[in-house]
Order: sequence, then C-alpha cells, then structure tokens
Amino acid sequence: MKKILIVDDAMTVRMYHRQLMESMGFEVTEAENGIEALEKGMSDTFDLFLVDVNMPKMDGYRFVEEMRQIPELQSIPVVMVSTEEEESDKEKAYLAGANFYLVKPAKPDELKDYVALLIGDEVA
Amino acid sequence: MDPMLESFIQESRDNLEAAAKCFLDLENKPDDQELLNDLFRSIHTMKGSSGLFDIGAFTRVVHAAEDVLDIVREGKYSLTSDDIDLFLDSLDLAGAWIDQLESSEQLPDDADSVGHEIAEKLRGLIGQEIKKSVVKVEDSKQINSHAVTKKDDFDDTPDWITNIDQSQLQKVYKLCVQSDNKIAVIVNYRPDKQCFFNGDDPLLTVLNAVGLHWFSVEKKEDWGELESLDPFQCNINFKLLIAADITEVKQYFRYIIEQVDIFRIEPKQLIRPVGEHSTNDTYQLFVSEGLAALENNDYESLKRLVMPLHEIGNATLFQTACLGWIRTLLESDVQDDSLLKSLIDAVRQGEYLSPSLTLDKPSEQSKTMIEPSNKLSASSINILKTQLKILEMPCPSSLLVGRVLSTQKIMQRLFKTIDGDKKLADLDSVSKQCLATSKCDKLHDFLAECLEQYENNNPSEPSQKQNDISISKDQAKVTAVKAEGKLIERTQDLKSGERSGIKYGRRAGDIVDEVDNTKHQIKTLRVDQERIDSLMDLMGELVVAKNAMPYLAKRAQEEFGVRELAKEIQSQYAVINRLSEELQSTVMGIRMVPVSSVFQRFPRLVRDLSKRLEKNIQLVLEGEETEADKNVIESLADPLIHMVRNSLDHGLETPQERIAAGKNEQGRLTLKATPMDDQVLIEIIDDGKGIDPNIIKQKAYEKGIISEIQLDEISDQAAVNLIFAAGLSSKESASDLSGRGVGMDVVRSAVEDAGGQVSVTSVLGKGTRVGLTLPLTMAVARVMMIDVDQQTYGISMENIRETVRVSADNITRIKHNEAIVLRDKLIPLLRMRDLLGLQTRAKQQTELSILIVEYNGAEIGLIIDNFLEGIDIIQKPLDGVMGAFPIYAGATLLGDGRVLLILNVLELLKCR
Repeated sequence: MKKILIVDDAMTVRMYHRQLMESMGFEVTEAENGIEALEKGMSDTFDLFLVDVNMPKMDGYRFVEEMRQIPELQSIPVVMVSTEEEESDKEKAYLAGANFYLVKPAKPDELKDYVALLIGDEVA
Repeated sequence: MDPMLESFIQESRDNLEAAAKCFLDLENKPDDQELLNDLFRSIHTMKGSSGLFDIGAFTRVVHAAEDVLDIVREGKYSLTSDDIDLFLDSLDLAGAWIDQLESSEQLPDDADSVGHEIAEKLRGLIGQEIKKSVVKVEDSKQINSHAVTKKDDFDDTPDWITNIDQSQLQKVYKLCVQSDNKIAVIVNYRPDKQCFFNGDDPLLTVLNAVGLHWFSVEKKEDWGELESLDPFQCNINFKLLIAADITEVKQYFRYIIEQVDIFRIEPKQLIRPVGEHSTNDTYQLFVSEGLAALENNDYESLKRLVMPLHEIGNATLFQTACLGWIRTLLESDVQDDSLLKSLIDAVRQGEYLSPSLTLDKPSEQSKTMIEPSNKLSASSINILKTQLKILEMPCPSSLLVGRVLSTQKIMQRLFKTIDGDKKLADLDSVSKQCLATSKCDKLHDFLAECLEQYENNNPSEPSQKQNDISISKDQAKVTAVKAEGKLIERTQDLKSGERSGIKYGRRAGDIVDEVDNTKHQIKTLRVDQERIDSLMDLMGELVVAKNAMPYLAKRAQEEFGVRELAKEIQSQYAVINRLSEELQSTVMGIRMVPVSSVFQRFPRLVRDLSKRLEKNIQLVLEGEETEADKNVIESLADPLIHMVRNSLDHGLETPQERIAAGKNEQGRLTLKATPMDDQVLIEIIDDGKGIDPNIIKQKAYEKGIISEIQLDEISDQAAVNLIFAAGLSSKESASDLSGRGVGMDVVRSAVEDAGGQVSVTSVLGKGTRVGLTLPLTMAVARVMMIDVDQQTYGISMENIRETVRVSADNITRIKHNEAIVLRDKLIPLLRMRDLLGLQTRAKQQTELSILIVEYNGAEIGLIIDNFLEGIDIIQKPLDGVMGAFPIYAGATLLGDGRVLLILNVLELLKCR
C-alpha cells in the first residue's frame, strides 16, 4: 500500500486530506509541523509528502529545504498545499524543493487526480 | 455531526482564544514580532480550515483579519487600541458563529451581511477594498458543491455505446428528442473497491438511478481464482444509459461524484447501428425505394417500406438495426433528412457514417472518440511541465541531488502510466549523468523531449499547444532570473539561521538531536469529557466498594470467629486501599485543569470594563498554574466574574478619586490562586475604597435584614459579612455592570454548591479581599461520621475546623446560651439535637464531644454524642421529598450497606 505523510498544523485540514487519501486506498500518517514531519519521515518510508506552508516551529518551505538534503528523504516527491495563490508563492515552493503546488482548499477531484499521478498509483 | 466540522469547531475555539490572548498582549507589546507571528498563524489556520465548509461569511471575516495582520506583521501599519477593539469584536462574532455552527451546523441568517460589514471595517484599517475576499469566498463555495466541472455542451460519445441494446438506445433517442428537459446521459460508474465499508450499495444505486434505461456490469480487473476472491471488495464497474434532466443525474450521483464519469450525449450521437452485415438482396431493393421516397419527402411510404422489413429481420443483423433507427426517426416528431439518408446508405454499405462525419475520412472516425482517461493525461502533462519549470530554476548545490532525484521519481511514475517501462532505462542514465555533473540540464532536456512527444501523440490537444510550451519556456526564463535574486536572499536567511543556532536536519543524526529537544513537550490527547466523568464515577464506586472490606473483616472475626481470615482481609484491604487511592489521584489528575483557564478571560473583561467606567486599572494574575478539578473551575467562573465586576464597579475608584485620596492613580486588582492541601484558595484583592461597615449596617437595617438591637451590637467584621445576605445591594442605583438584585448572596450559594466557602475582609479606604476556598474535586468527598441520638450522620470535613472533647464543667452559660473558652477564645455552643429538632434529651455526660465549625467567619461549637471515623464517599444528591430539605447535603452508601445522611452544617446553622 502506498504511504503518504500529511503535514499541516490545522487538525481539520489534516482530517480532510486524510479522508481523501484513505478513500484512494493510501496509508496516511500525520505530522503537525516540519520538525515532527522530519521525525516521522525518518521512521518510515513514504511515497509522497503533502505539506502545508504556514506552520509553527518549522514551516513548509524550510521543511522541504531540509528534507531535500537528507539522503533517506530527498527523493520523495512533495506536494505543497497553501492558501496563497500568487505565482510568487508557488515559485518559492518550487525553489525550496517542492515538486507540485496546489491552492488550499484543493477540490477533491483535483487533489485526488494529482496525488494519484504523483504517487504512481496504478489505478489512475 | 460531521466529524470534520466537529474538529473545525474545536480547533477554531482554540485558535480564537489564542488570538484573543495575543491581541491583549499586543496592547502592551505592540512590536513583538513573535506575538504577531503567532497571531497571524492562528487566524491563518482558521481561514484555511474554514474554506472546507460552506461558511463564506466566516471565511470572509478571518480572511480580512489575516490580510490586515499581514500588513501589520510587515511593519507597515501598527494597531491602535481602537483597532484591537475592532479585532476583538470580530473574534467575538466569529466565536458566536462557531457556537451557532455547533448547535445548528450553519451560520445565522444575517451572517452574510454582518460578516461583510465587519470584514469591510477591518479592511478599512489598511484602506483595502473588499473585492478580493469575495472572489475567494465564491471560490471556496465551489469546492463544496463539487459539481461535475464539465462544459454545458455535449460530450464526446465513448466507444462502448455500441454495447448498448439497440432498442434501448432508440427508446432513449425518442424520449430525448420529444422532451425539452431530458437528455441522454451515459454514466461510467466505477465504485470504490472499499465502498461496502462506506455503506454504499452500488447495485442499488444503479437500479434506483433516475431515468435508467440500460446498464451493464463488468469486472474491474480479472477476478482470478475463486479462492483468492475477496467478496468484501467491490470488483465490478457499471455502465448506465439514462434519459433524464442532467441536473437530476448530477444530484443523484453527488455523493459518489468522484466515482462516476458522466457524459451528456447529443441524441443523434446515439445512432450507432451494429450487427452482422447481410448480403440479402431485399435490403438493396429497399435502399433504392427508400431513397426515392425520401427524395419526395414521402415519410409515410418510407415508413411502410421499413416496418415489415424491420419486423421480420433478424435482430442480430446490421440492417435490422439500421431499419430500427429509421423507424425510430420516423416515429419521433422531428425529421432529419440527412440522418435518414445516412441510415439508408448504411443499409446499403453495411457501415453507418453520421452526417457530420461523412465528409471526413471514414477511418478517422473511431479515433475521435475520446476516452475519459484523457482528462488524466492533461493532469500528467501539467505535472511534467511543472517539473520542467523546476529543473529550469536555479539550484543551490545542496539541494541539487534532492531536486534531481525527486523529479526523476515523478517522471518514473508518470512515464510508467503513460507508456510502461519504455523510457525508464533512459531516464535512469540521464539522471545519473546529472548527479555526476551536478547539473540539471540533461534531465531537463530529456523531459522536454518526452513532453513534446506525448503532446504530439495526444489527439485531444490541438497543435496550438506547441506554442504554449514555448511561451511557458520564455516565462520560465524570466521567472528564473527573478528567482535567482530571491535565492541569494534565502541562502542568506539560512546562514543567519545557522549562526543563531537554529539548525534542523542536514544529517539524520542532527535531526534526532533536534527532535530530542522537542520531545519534552507535553503531548496532549483530547478526550470526551463524558468518558472521564464515567471513569470518575466508576472510580467513586470502587472507593465505596472498597469501604466494605473492613466490615467484612470485622464480621469474619466477630461472627464467624476466623481471625486469620480477618487479618488477611485487612491486609488485602490495605493493598486495595493504596491502589484505589493512587487510581483516584491519577483520575483526578486527568480532570485537573489550571486556574488559568478561568483567569484568562479576565484581562479582556477588565480591559473592556475599565474603559467603559473610565477607570485606570491594572490586573495582576497570580498562581495561574494552580490546578483544580474541571467542574470546580467551571463552577468558579460565574462567581469570579461577579466579584471582579463588583470590585471594578464599586471597589476601585476613578483616577481623580484615587489621586484625591492620595493613592496611586492606577488601581490594582489582583486575582490569586493558591493551592492548600486538598483545597484551592482563590483571592480577589483590590486596593479600592473598601467596604464601609456603617453603610452596610444601615442598609441591612433598612431592608429588615438585621434588627435594631443588632444594629448597635454588630461588629464591623460581621457587618461586612452582611454583604452575603440576600437582597442587599450597597450602591443606590445598580449599574448595568454588577447587574440588579443579584449580589454576593448568589456568589456565596454558587461557591457553597461547589463545596466551598467565601469570606470577605475589608479595610475602609485601603481595599477589599474576598477569599474563596474550594475543594480540589467535587466527586469524592471526605466526611466525618458522627453519632447523634443513636443515628449516624456525615459532616463534610471541609466544614470542620477541629474536634475537641471537653469536660461538662468547662461549659459556661451566658444568659440562655452555652459557650466554652478554647485557647482564650469564647466559642458559642449549640446542641446538634436541638438543631435537628430531636425531642430526646441526651444522657448526662461528663465529657462532651464538640465539633468546631466555621460559620460566616466565626467559630461555632456543635455538641454531638460521639465522633466516628472519617471516610471517603461519593455524595449522591437526595431527590423526592427528602430533596426539599436543604439541611441534608446528600446521602451515601456505607460499606455495610447502610445509608449515611450527610448534613449541610451551614444550612443547619442558618435555621437556628
């Protein structure tokens, strides 16, 4: 089963993403901020990270920047999810190491579609 | 309620509270960047989460607040005290909405207008227009309705339409042509494999579909061996043919919209005759006659030609199918000559070409049928283009490996879905080259090449796309240049971060160190209060059940004469007693909350009230970390608010008055919590004008609370205590702050209900101190058992100051009252028998047992027959007739099954 790590400080958003991801048959782990995500990321092998930008302790940009330098994590694709829709915010995310950017709250179909492709789900 | 909404409500309350606290702190420290960041994040989180629900007004308000705070955070605007008022009002509004959401799952009706108004006010602070947020809100609404995002015109017909029974297609065609609002819809329903666990019944869904005419069932994938079949997974897909209003269809499938593809089909697209071609001459004869009839618009004779041929024809024949269609067309009201002609031609050729396509090369026809999966490849291309863009961006060497590997992984996954393993080997070698040279360009070029290839092969994308790529490339270059500048900034940021010691990650080992630092944080678990309450109840039962064991031991020894057993029971009791005590304190620990949860609402209250009263008051909170049971803390909230209001309203003076009295201009109100054994002491101390005992005396006399004799005799302290008497309000006109008619007596009864006591001391001109003593917990109480007239009663330990035995000779008589002198203090005595109204006289005892209790700040001695042991009990309130007697606080079961009545000493003394 494909594994996905959801990183977001808002419980509700985590729950929303979890529901969608689980409905697609993925195994979901949650983290509340970048530091926790690094910790959890190291403790298991994930196929995809779904990361919020604005979080306490360590934000999404910083998290991606860090994980891209850790051999165990650096190859894992990252989707950034943020309420900001400016082109400059997307660039900032890509520059930090994200592979894809979705504006929050992402429509269920859109999110599922992209996640299915990025995670390499056969069913897609 | 939807668990997601529930979580949102809970989370928003936390965030609103956190935000309010930040605002208050901000007033004292307007430039605290960390505070601003915390504040921004609380608001931001709410905005993000609220977008998941259909609560546009809420989103609009928090979004406006977020925008303003963003400007403030950048230092471009600083908040004034009035601005903070506005923000606090907005938070109050949002809080009220959250309450409403909890009770009715929707916002109040006026939310839109109210929300708009307040959002506009907020934006007014930074002179921004409201437009932007409106757009966003509409945006978020769309998500909720997640309707099929297909255009209003017709979709292309999927190939599998030819599998559908011809007669059904013809029926649907007729229906759609004849009705204005019906449309042919075909649905590809792919139930989720786990759908049974969601309570879905796919077959039922299909059978109940509105306007269903035909459906087929097919395997999702090969079922394999019977033994390996998982019957709990849905392994089939459905295809449906429907004639209905499209909105109805969407409505019907709205809960499983992600599992269906809905195609709207133009009626004439349904005409797809299929079958075996027959070379029978009859059909050729029909063709020439039919064409002639059509030429003359003689539909009647055409019909006559078709009918017999169609009816006798073999249903599997292609010609029969065509004839069926001709008949259908003729029978429906609208006539389309070109369609009829095509069909007649089809009878001749054995192949049907729809009129619009007859001009094109016939072989192209099948290719223009687009499978729904093409939507997916649009997403794939979007992802790949994004990777291309990423590879074009400047990349610091530290991030290069990660970038190459992650983009490579994505390409791997996508290429696999598009054309299997063909490109994977190439991709692998290209990315190895990149890693070796520390440059992304090779991978970029490879991806660009692949993309071009895919797009050319994709029939759904017009050639214009080609231009799009080149444009986006140019754009990417421009952005890349821009980004380079930013990158320098970012790397500088990072470096300064390292200097200041903030450094996460790099290697796995480093992270672990960092993680360790965060480990000491308390992890919290949210638990429904009911569960803890029931745990508490169970624990209480256990405490009572445990009390039965000493009785058991006693019986073993006395009734059955087994001393050994009695001893063993006793020692076992000691173990259980210890465990249950530990359990009790652990469970109680779970319910303990810091007093700060009540205290934290006061900064706001004091701030607002003092502003309104035009007083300058500093609030000091002490001992906020002191803990007590959640119920106790909650029962404390209202009395505290009342007393704080009293202090602000009546106690503390205006700055002018204070200066005139030679005091510091700023008044001081202290809320202090101190733990004391198994009690908590809460003090409300102000340095205001104090309570004038003479005014209170006068007032109490006027209201008939005290008699004329008492007016002369009463001590100042006793007079001050009169403020707890019902119906006394010292200010002539009750202000709207302290309310009307309800005074300190309400406070007292609330505190006493929670098992606590109130006392007040006041120095005229210097200030007032009100002290509340509350038990740490309300669930398990400790009582002392006493004997009065051969009956056992319980009295709460909290009421008992001490117990003494004195010789009967030591009692002094003052007029009709008895008293004793204890440690040079005269203590009035009362006999419990009299208080309880018992007629029997006690035997003359040489030694009297006396309970010293505190009542209204004074000590009173109660003469009882005998003291017994103290026990832990769970007090159950009395109901029925007994419930009407306030002198009984409740009852409990004793270990031997007897019922123990608990006396409410304070009530008892009141009615003396």
